[in-house]
Amino acid sequence: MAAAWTVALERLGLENPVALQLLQACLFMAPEPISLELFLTPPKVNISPEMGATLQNPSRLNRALRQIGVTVSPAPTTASDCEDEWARRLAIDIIAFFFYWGDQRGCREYAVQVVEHWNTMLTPEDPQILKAARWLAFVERQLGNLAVGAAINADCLNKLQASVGHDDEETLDAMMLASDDRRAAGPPATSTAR
Amino acid sequence: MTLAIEAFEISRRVFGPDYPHTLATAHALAVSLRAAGDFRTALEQDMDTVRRRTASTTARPTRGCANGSARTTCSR
Repeated sequence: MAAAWTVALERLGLENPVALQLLQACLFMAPEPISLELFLTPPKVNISPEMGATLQNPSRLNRALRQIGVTVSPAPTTASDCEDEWARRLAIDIIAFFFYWGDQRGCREYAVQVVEHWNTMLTPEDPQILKAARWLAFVERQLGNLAVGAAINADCLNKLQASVGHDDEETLDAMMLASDDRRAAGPPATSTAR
Repeated sequence: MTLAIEAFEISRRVFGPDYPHTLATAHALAVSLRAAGDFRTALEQDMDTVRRRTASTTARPTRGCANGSARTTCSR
């Protein structure tokens, strides 16, 4: 996993050194939200003359930001592939990181990948699959896909109740999410039959 | 609402009223109560949660942001 990150970062550094500097500056401040204003308005953060020149040029800045996304995003895939439980916890943390970073679509994309892959290598009731699936349900709801999120949460709740029982923290978490789904869906439709 | 009540009651019974997970379920229940229009009960529920959270955070140091501000997160 560390090797994969290193390769991705080295490649980024070769292709666009300023993009790597920008990523390093952001990682230093993460996971707090980082306003672009911090770099663009006085007093500016002055990391290097090269970065200063990039920040002054919207076209170069956008290219650097795109390159960060394209180059670094493949690295987390190795976490979802790993059979080690600790690495799988890391994959779940990466899902959460995408969400708190504000990249909801990236969060969903990675969560889908993780859940689908883990379903091929773990039992369907595995707590880590169900945790990743609940993140997927959560971000689906945030993206407006209420029914999709609700279906995933209902499935997770059923599996957790059957596997770890009704009193487990994971089950209670799923129960709260299912409750949120029902609230978001609104009151049940009343019969209008004449 | 039924699920929110059930989650809160199970968590309070199993883990106790001041356990962080119980307080999370308590807040979720208050949100449901407010959405259902029961504002007074929601307020009472949230005030109780605030009191319990305040008591627990003043009793021991907690992780916070570098600048000391309260972290605002979603229910996840």
